[in-house]
Formats: sequence, C-alpha cells, structure tokens
Amino acid sequence: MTTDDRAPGARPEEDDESLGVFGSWRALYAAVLIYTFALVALLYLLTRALDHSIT
Amino acid sequence: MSGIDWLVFALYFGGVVSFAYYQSRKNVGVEGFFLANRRLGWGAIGLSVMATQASAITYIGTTGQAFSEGMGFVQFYLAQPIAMVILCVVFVPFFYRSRVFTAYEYLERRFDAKTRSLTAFLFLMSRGLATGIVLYAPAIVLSVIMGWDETSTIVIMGAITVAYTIMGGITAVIWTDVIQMLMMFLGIGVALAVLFSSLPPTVGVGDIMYIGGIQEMWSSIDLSWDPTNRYTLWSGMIGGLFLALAYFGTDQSQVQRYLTASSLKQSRLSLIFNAFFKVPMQVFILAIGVLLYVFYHFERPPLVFHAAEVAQVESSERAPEYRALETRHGEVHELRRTATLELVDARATGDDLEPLKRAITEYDAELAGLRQDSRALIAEVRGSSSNDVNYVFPSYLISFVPAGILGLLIAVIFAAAMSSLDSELTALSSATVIDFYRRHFKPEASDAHYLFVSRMATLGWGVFAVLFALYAGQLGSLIEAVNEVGSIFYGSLLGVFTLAFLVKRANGRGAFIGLIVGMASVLAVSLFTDIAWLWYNVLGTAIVVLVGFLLRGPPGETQPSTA
Repeated sequence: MTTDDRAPGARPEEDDESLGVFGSWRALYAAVLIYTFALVALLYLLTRALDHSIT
Repeated sequence: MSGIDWLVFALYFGGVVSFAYYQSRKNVGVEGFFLANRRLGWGAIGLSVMATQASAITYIGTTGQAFSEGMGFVQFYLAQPIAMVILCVVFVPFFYRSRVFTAYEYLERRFDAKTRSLTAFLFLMSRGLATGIVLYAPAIVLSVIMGWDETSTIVIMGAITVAYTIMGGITAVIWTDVIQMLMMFLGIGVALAVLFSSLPPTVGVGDIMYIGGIQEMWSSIDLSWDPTNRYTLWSGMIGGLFLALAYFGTDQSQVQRYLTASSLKQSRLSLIFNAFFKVPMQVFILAIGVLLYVFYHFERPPLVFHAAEVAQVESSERAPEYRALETRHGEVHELRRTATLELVDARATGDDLEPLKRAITEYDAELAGLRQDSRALIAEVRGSSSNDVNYVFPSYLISFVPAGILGLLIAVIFAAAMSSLDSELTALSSATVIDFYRRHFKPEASDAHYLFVSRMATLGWGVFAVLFALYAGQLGSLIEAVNEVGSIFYGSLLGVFTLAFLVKRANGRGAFIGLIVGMASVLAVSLFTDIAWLWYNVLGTAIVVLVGFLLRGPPGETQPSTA
C-alpha cells in the first residue's frame, strides 16, 4: 500500500523528494532501521564486555 | 547556592520568559496560538519533540534509577527509532494532510463524534495527571537545595510556566524548547565532565568501567523472556515500540508539534531527527547515574538521600536506631572504599582481582541491606513508604558540584521541566477548546473569542496541574509513575488510530466498543497480574484492533478515509 493510496489529496512528488545524502525517503528509513539494530548490537557487546561480576 | 549560581539561574529564567514574551507578538488567532500558523521547520520541531519527552523526571528519576539498577532502562527507548519510521510512513501523512488541530479531531472525520470525544477525554485525563507529576519533579530539587517547602515551590514553578505559555502560545513554546533542549545537551556534558573530574586522580576510565561492571551496572541488554521483568530487550522492542507509537502518534502533546510544520517533509524530518538522537541522549543520562554509583565508592554517600525524611526520623524516638545504621553504613563504606582503591592498584599491577571483587560485592550487599533497613525504619516512623531514588542526583549536586556549575545544572533541570510542562499545557488546552468547547458548546464564534478561551483553558489546566502536583509526593519512582498512568490508556488509543489508518471497513461503533473493552482489559491486567506495564500497550492495541475488526462494516460499505 502506498501513502497516496491511504491519503487522497497527497502530492505525489512527496515520497520521491530529494533528501540530501540519503537520496530518498526509503533510503532514509532504511538507514534508521540499520542504525537501530547497530545500536542494539553495540549495547549488547558492551553488556558482555563490561560484565565483571564475580564468577 | 552561591551568588554566581543565582546569577546563572536568573539569566536562564529571565532569558526564557523574555523570549516567550517576544514570541507572543507573533500569535494571530487560534491557529497561531495552537499551530504557529503551520510554518515551522524540522530542526525547531525536532528539538521541541525531544524536549517535550525529556522532562525533569528524565534527569532526576532516570539518573536515580541508573544509580540503583544500572543501564537496563535504556531498553525502554530502543524501539523508538523504529516507531519514528512507522509514524512517518503511516501516521504523519494522515494528520498533516487532514489539516486538523488535534489528533482526535481526525477520529471524528474517520469514525464519529463519540469516538473523538472519548479519546480526547482520555488524553485530557491521563496527560492532565502526568502534567502534575512533571511539575512536581523540579519542586523536589528546589525543596532540597533551597529549603523551600514543596507546596510553595510547585505553586511558583507552575505560575511562571503557565504565564509564559499563555503569553506565547505554541510558537513561544517550541522556540523556548529549542533553547531548553540545547541547555539540556550542555548540562549532560557538564554533569559527566564534573563527575569524571571528581574521581580520585588514580582512577581512570577503564577503572570506572570495571568498578561499574562488578555489579553489572553497565548491563544494557537483558535477553530474558520473563514478562514480569520490567526491562528486557523484548519488552523494550515490542512493548516500548507500542508505547512510542502511542505517545508520538496519538498524544496531542507530540502530534501538535509536528502539525506546526510548514510541509509534510518538515514534519517527517522532525521525527527522524529524534530517531537518531534520542537513544544516545538517554544512554548519556543513564551513564550519569552509573558514574554516580562509581563515584560513591570513593566518597561516602548518605545512607538515605532524602534529607527531609532523615530529619524526620532523627527527631523521632527511633533516632538511636537510625544512627546505629548510619554508623555501620560509614564503616562498611570505608571498607568498600579501601577495597576499591586496592582493586584499582591491582588492575595497574596485574594482581589477582577476584578476592577484591568478592569483598566489594559483599560490602555492596551489606550497604544495600542497610539502606533497605533504614528505609523500612523511616517508613515506620512516617507511617508511609519511603523512596529516595529521585533524590540521588539532587543530593549529589548540592554536596559536590562547584559554584556556577550548580546554578547551570539546576537551570537545566528547570529547562527540562518547563519544556515539558509548557508543551503539555498547550496540548491540553487545544484538546479542551477544539475537541470540546468549539465542537460541543460554541461552534460558531470569532477567532478572537477562541483565542481568549484557549488562554483561559491553558490557565485552567495549569491550576489543575499545580493541585495534582501537590499530591504527587505520595507516588513512587516518578519516571515509572508517569509512564504507568499513560499505559492504562495509551495502548487502547493506539488501537483506535490503527483501526482508522489500516482497517478500511472499521467503523465508529467498532472503534468505540473496542476502546472501552481495551481499556477495561488493560485495567484488569494491571490490577490482577504481575505483567510488566510496558506490555499493557501491546495488549490494549491488540484488543481494540481485534474488536474493531470483528465489528467492521460489511464488504462494500464505505467508510470516510480522511478529511
């Protein structure tokens, strides 16, 4: 389903607008998702690396 | 506070109020007051979205929580970037293009008037209560630092914030939020720098990480599936996702922000900005709490951080018992301090660390037990429970932070409080005027009349927030209290909007009944089970969507889609 299907009256060019280095909305959204999973992975690695509880 | 602290504090207050007064000249009519005439850019809106979410509770409650339990609370925020993408794709286009004033106004166009009124009412109720708590948090700081009683502090704080919000409307609110958010970033950096510099010179970054790691204070990710465990990766990624969708997608205090944008693109970018910066900010705030935990290995912490409660027990006939606990606390702290310094040396020389870690762990456990005993004693003396989590950071500020910086950090806590309170007041006012007054009582009136009523509604909600704040002291950890109040309603509200956006044949009857059933179910779960509150949002949303789907119209029945 596209945004325009859901919302009559939308300007069709909005989803294809240029967004600087990201190029398109889809690329920007993908960057956010990759960033999120990278954050989770980083925090998990830190959790493991900084666990100095007694064995 | 010293003279220089007061100067910094006065500069902040004077600057914000003057700026709000300057911005108030730009309000023309009710659309200017509530939506800044829809002409703002993503940067200002993005910072305002962040500032609205980050209240003083974030600084006081979250740092206290990290001091007690470590970094695990960050999991609550991890799904927020994903929520932002979903909001940009699904929610924002509907709201923006329908040119509504409030999120609930959209529901009347999609469903019916009763669904709009009920959702707006739920928002007013839950956000009204939360606003009282937001106001209460900085009052704690002032009561600790200046010796004012909490009642006077709440009234003074509320009055100043309400005054500049009434003058400036949403334009002033957003631009003051920008200043306040930048101050918050500065405050986080300064707090971390001061904490680092307060540690003994022999203690390096590696030592700090190691000491925190002995009690797993840096542990950010918990992979367990226990639904009664409050913060796990799964409760964060699933429950937290639903809560973020509900908060940013159905709460007028956030929706109103991105409705002020000059275009759909600006609206979306303001949320994407938050997707990138919110989690790192939260990590740094939590790190302040863990650094405090490490810091108090080298400096003696108070047995109980809430000075007023300590004074109460010390003036009672149980004072000798408390002093005995305090004496033992001092002795054990000294033992832990010595062991920690030896650990730092052993790390440098490569000696065996296990015996020292064991000793520190035992001292930690005894110190925790002494704190528990002292809180139980205080509770018996006071006749009500004792909780000092929210006093940990303020207590550190007044005891250890140098002059000038103390004023700045106090101003930052005020900035956080005011930037949330002013946003919530404009949101409450907009829902009151647009969804009730203009909709049900006076549909045809001049713009000047609605502007006047809007200002009066802001004043009314400010008075309500002050009154509620006076009773907020009876609640536990503030950060959770705010979220728990919202979670009773949020999931069900999200369910209604999900029906509106994604189920084409959903109708007003199904949405309304679903909302009632959803809220009743969440309330029952919260009262009769131990399921952690982050899951309430998932449950509420699922039940509303299910009921709404079952009661949807027959194939071919036309439902209005948007404006």
